[in-house]
Amino acid sequence: MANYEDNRIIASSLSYAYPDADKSAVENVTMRVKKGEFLAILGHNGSGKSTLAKLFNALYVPTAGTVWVCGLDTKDDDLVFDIRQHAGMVFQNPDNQIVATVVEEDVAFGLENNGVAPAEIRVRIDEALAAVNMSKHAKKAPHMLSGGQKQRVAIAGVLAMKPDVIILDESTAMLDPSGRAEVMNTVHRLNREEGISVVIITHYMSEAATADYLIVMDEGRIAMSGTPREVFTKVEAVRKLGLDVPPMTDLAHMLRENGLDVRADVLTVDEMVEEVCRLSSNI
Amino acid sequence: MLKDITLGQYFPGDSAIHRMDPRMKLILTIAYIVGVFMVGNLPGYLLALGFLYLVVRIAGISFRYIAKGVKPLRFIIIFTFVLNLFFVQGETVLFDLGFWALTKEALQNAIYFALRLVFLVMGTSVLTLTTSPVQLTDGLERLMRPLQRFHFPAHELAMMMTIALRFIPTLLEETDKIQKAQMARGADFESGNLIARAKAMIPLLVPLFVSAFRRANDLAMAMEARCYRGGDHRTRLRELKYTKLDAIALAGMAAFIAIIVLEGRLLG
Amino acid sequence: MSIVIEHLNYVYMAGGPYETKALNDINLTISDGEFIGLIGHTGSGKSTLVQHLNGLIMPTSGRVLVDGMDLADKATDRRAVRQRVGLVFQYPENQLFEETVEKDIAFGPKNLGLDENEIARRVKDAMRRVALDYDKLHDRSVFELSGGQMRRVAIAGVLAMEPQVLVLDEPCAGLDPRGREEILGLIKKLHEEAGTTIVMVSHSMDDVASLAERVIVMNHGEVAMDGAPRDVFSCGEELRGMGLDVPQAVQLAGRLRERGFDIPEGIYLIEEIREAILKVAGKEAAHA
Repeated sequence: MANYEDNRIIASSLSYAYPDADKSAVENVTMRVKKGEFLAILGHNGSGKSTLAKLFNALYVPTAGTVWVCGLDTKDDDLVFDIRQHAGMVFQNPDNQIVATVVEEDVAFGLENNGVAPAEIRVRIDEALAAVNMSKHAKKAPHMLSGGQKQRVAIAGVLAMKPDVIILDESTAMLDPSGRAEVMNTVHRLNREEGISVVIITHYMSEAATADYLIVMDEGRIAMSGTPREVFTKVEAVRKLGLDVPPMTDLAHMLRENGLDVRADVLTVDEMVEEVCRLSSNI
Repeated sequence: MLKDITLGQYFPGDSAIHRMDPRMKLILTIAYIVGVFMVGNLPGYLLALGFLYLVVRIAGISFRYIAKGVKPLRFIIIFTFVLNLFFVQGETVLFDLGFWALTKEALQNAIYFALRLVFLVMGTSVLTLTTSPVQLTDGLERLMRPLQRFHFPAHELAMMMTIALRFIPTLLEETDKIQKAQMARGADFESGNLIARAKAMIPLLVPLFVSAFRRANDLAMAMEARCYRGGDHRTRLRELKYTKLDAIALAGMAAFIAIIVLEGRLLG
Repeated sequence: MSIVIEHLNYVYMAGGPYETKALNDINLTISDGEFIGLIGHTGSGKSTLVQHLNGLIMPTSGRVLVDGMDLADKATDRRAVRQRVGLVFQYPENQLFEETVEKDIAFGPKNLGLDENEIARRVKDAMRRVALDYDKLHDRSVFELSGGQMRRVAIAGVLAMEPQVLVLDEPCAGLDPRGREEILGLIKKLHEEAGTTIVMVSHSMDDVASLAERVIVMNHGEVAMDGAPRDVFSCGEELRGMGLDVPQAVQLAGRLRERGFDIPEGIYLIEEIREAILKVAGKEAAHA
């Protein structure tokens, strides 16, 4: 088995079929999440990306192959709670993952389950709420918060358990643009400052474009992988998989078709501006 | 009318009553109700009223607010009152209608019983008004904990209460949305006879149940992902601690019960 | 058919401690055949506004006239109004309840008291409009369908009312790119082929930019901007001030202009910025 210090999650020839299903939802996936990495998993609905996420957290147990989370095999029943502490999960619907009637009590939930002493719980929830900028909402009822705030509470709940990896299973899908930005900024900061590995499952290309590495799922298998630049440059292939490319990549692609020599791997507006400037000074 | 119900509502505050340990409040509320049920004469009820008034004042809630909470339950109270009038046997006939005679005993019993109900409602209101739902669940869970030895699901019950409290606002909001969505498709929830109206509820109830089940499913998975494994070895963020305040309250209640008992013996 | 909104005010939880003014003096006219994109951040009042359009919410003051009928008037048949102004809520699949796809879509027409034949015709027509195969799907349970299909069934349920105005509250929320494209495609077709007036609430500036002919921007319960997409999106600073984005094409056009490139004002579509860049590059090439 590979070195756990460098690889937070390792999946090896991983397959999973739901009970009673005739087809595997995840099939023969081999991949890893490196220490400190920000990884995005893309794919249309039903491509197997959410199933994959649940295999990383021992919510599902592989039907074939193995997942190691920080060196722990998810098939081992005795390790389940350790694994869930190492790899925290944030789900899609902000309303359906908050358990308690007060924000800080909800953040405490995982710690309470793990039998952490009350004084230590206090310290950790204060830290976690501060890390997601929700300290001033600590005493509020969850239903008084916006979608983005609720998701940040969910992140704090995971963060309080001091995880090595945070997995966001389409956690921005139900949010408005400002909520999405709140969540993305928060996980990027945690990734940068605390060195926590992040896995986001998403179908927003703009979010995927901010990752270090991309995996595109289709029919339960890995269809494409690479850095966002490498993946999005293949505009046709990405479209064929039922996905989009960022608007600026699309534009670069069109301009190249018109014979302009812009880079094919442009992702952002800034980069496009630079490309147009470079072009005009070259001519 | 729904908004008149003070029972089960929380009135935020920082009074001595608010700051008491929820377990003590639960115990003392039960003690108060038992005390009230031991009372058998009017001066005794006046005492009970005076005691309640004192507690409500300390809690910083207007007594009127508490009294208003009895209003939604007036029909039950009137019903028991009438029932007592009819079914209690007595000797001292006040007046006789031939088929039925009003006796002094029946009247007395009816009044006392109605008063007991009123005090029961008001006493419980004081508890719920001064104790947040979270504290209440905590208190209940910890009071019932010894019963776990006899396989009583104290933790599970408390967890269910918490989740119910958490999801009530979410489901209310959802109900409103589904109702409007069906109205946009021409559904009518307001007219027609009882059967028509009950039938009109199907387009509302089916989606609501579907959604509630989906939420339950999601929540179960989210709880599992956060290492939930039942009540064993679980710690709590907030530890409950009895303080001097609770001791004083306990003494006060003991005094009240003692006076009630003594007064009952003297006037009995 | 037009919808006229005059001095509309709506106060939420009036008289209580949480009283909030959700809508403040709204004046709008929605004319026949328009395609309106309604944008604004969460809490700007856009959802409250659209619920006024078919009388699900009644104004605190002011009037909403649908085809000349005042919705607050007791004599107005609200059901008739709701037939004319169809409203598709956010995540409309959450309102499905019948055993089969066909029965669920028939719910609206049934409430209108139509006869069997007409109901059957409308169900088929609505399913065709949302690109669902009637023969294959009509007797399937709605709960067996995929997320995208469920959403289309729900939209068909409103279309079967044959409304003249269709209001959609974030019709693409939560869908993947393919699902989004399908829904946007069918809305576009509905507008172009059936001439249905569309009011689409959306958070996606790019969707609004590519479809709407008129953009209404809500902010703090008021109409902050109202005009052609070209004019609205050229006010990038103001939009950002309201917590909104501008389409990336607009951002790029602005940045290139700052760098001294000759990019025409009012560009908001990717195709337009492409033309502009090609022109600039062509000119430069000619100079060289």
